[in-house]
Amino acid sequence: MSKTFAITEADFDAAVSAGKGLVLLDLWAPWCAPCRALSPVLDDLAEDFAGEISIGKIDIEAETGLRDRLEVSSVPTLVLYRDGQEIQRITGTQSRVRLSAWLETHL
Amino acid sequence: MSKGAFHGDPALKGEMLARIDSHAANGTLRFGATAWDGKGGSPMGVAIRGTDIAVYSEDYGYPLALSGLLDPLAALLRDPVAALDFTRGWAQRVTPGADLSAIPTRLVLYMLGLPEADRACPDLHAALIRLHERELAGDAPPRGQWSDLRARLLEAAERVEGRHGRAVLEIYEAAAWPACSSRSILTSMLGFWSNFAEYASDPDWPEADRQRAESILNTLWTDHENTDPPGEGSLSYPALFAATDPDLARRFEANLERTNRSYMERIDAIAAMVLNSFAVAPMFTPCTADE
Repeated sequence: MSKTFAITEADFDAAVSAGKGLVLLDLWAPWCAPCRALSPVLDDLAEDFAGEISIGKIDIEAETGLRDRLEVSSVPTLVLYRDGQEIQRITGTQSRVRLSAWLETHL
Repeated sequence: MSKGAFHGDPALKGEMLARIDSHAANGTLRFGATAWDGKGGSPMGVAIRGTDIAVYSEDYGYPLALSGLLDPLAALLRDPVAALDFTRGWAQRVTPGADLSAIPTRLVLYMLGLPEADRACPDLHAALIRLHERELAGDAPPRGQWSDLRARLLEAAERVEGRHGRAVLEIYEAAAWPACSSRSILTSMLGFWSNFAEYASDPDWPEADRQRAESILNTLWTDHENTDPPGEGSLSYPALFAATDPDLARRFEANLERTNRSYMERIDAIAAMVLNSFAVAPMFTPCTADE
């Protein structure tokens, strides 16, 4: 079963900046109810897109350096990277159907 | 290899119940987001001493989609006594060895049976039900049929007009996956389905009244947002609304009360349906080839 993985400031560069292919980051906060609703959707997407897209989660309360570096002003924010470069970001909750369609356009 | 709920082992059921009871007695069982801090947490958190839905599903033999439903549904019950009863019932009503695999699809079909759910796009509603019924009958539709339906839902979302139609399509979108393998289908559907109380038609609250109320409240907010110091709470918007249009404000409050009641009835109904489904689940029967 493919899983999402937690990303910290210590491993961000290796996992994202120097990474190859598509990486989707979920920037969330423990107090954010929409983030909690989105979390199982992302777990499903990790399974749906296994081998095509890696999905990482960043707790912006714990990783304030990454929050500032990625200029996150609201959560949930999803940031999509290709070969270490940000290509698109969206904020707010989205259905699994819409997120799937969005990710499909970047495969 | 599955042996049904609790892998057929009554000791596992006893372990889950003991953990729930122990944390409830200590005041370390909390209803809210899935959590485990090493001392206490949510119902799922205290059961597995962690927060991974997949671990809960594997450890206790509950389907993945159901496992993800426990904490959100207990939290939505609001009353802590009802939430604890539900949490204990979640374990107590399940016979070790019961086959719970059909319950997620049955819950999806139940929510799709919502009155008014077929008005926005009856053809898509019927197509969704057909796919889930095939799943239930053991004739799982190929992945492409689900993908085609999701594409049609996205096309419909471009055409549909009005809050009601959009709210219905959100329920359809959440439901457009096979329930047996999804972590999020039930929690996503539950959110849209319970919130639909706000969009259901109410003969005593026509759309024109709703729009006028929204316009008045927006105007009041704009007029006073700079005069009401943050955190002071000195202004009462309901009172300002009542002073502006007493009859509309009274009917607004009445609609709000009906909507809230309907919302809670939906949550109570789905919680009851989960527990009743547990109680009547058949025993797991392994395939002969597996033996």
